[in-house]
Amino acid sequence: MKAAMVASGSRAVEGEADRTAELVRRARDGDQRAFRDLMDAYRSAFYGLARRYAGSHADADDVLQEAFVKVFQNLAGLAQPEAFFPWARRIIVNTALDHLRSRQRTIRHETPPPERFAEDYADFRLEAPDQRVERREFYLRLEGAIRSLPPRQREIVILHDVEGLSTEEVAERCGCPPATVRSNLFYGREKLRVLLGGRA
Amino acid sequence: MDHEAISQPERHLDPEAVYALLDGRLSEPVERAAEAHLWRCDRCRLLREECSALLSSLRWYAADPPAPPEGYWEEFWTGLGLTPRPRVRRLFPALALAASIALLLLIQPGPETGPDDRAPIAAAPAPGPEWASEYRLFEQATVAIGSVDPVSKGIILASLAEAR
Repeated sequence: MKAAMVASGSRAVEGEADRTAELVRRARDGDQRAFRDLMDAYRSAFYGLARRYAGSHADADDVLQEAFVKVFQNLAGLAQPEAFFPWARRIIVNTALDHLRSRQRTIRHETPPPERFAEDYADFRLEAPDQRVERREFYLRLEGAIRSLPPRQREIVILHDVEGLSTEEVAERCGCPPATVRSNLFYGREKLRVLLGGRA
Repeated sequence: MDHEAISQPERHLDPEAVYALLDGRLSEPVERAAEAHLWRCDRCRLLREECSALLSSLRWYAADPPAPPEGYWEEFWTGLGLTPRPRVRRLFPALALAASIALLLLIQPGPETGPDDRAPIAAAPAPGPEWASEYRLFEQATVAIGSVDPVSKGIILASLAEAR
């Protein structure tokens, strides 16, 4: 019984991979309907990814618009259609990071200064999310706090603490020494802790 | 990490040491000393709780993103302009170059002409057999240049303007 279920699950995964590969091949030939079906199959994951890095719906939308066009235009370079998801994910992350860096000045003007952020959330206590009832509200507060970090700290905190990359992997991705990663990680975390109601 | 702030148990932990402890970056003896201090010190325990809550919040942030507003994807696909990258850009760079050379040859200034040669275009005779092949080449070159990317096109057109 168990073996039959495993075999059935394995066939479903294979079927999904085949369908993805077929859609990639058709989209590569310029079939826009196939491209839309392909991206729609992963759209929740792609939106979540863009939203985490961009820090707001509007910025996530900008990132996705640019990234989807890049994915479409570069499909011909994808050697293995089965590896579509990690490949497209990488494009979205890189687009989001470029977006983050290019908007460095604008972000500074858009986000409230840390003092005001702390005032707005004076009644807020930093607790683990599983103890919270108002999860949606907490998500937005956390997102706002992350958005207020300087771009380098924000990038490093997201890569290390949100995406789960090691210090060395983050250093390689950002092109800086591991010591710089550790230092930015520490200052970024501390700003977040204080912004979210931790003791200064 | 051998942090000075926790080498002496009577001193409070600083946030850097607490994050190092949570990341598992402390050496075993230093970690033991830190844990011993935390057992006795409410203030440092509170700091550890806050740091730990922050790290678990960040992990949760990755796992549970909000959904986009209702109707977002329909609007998204409507506004997305997809144009496949023209293959000529990758496959035929040499053709673009050949076309520009062909154009250069065709637009070389001819001998001095009199006022009668400046007849309206509409009155121009149909291509005769003596220069029909050159005219076909001109048409092909125009199509090829029209399909290359804007940067190459700019270079070709600038070189043509210079030649004239």
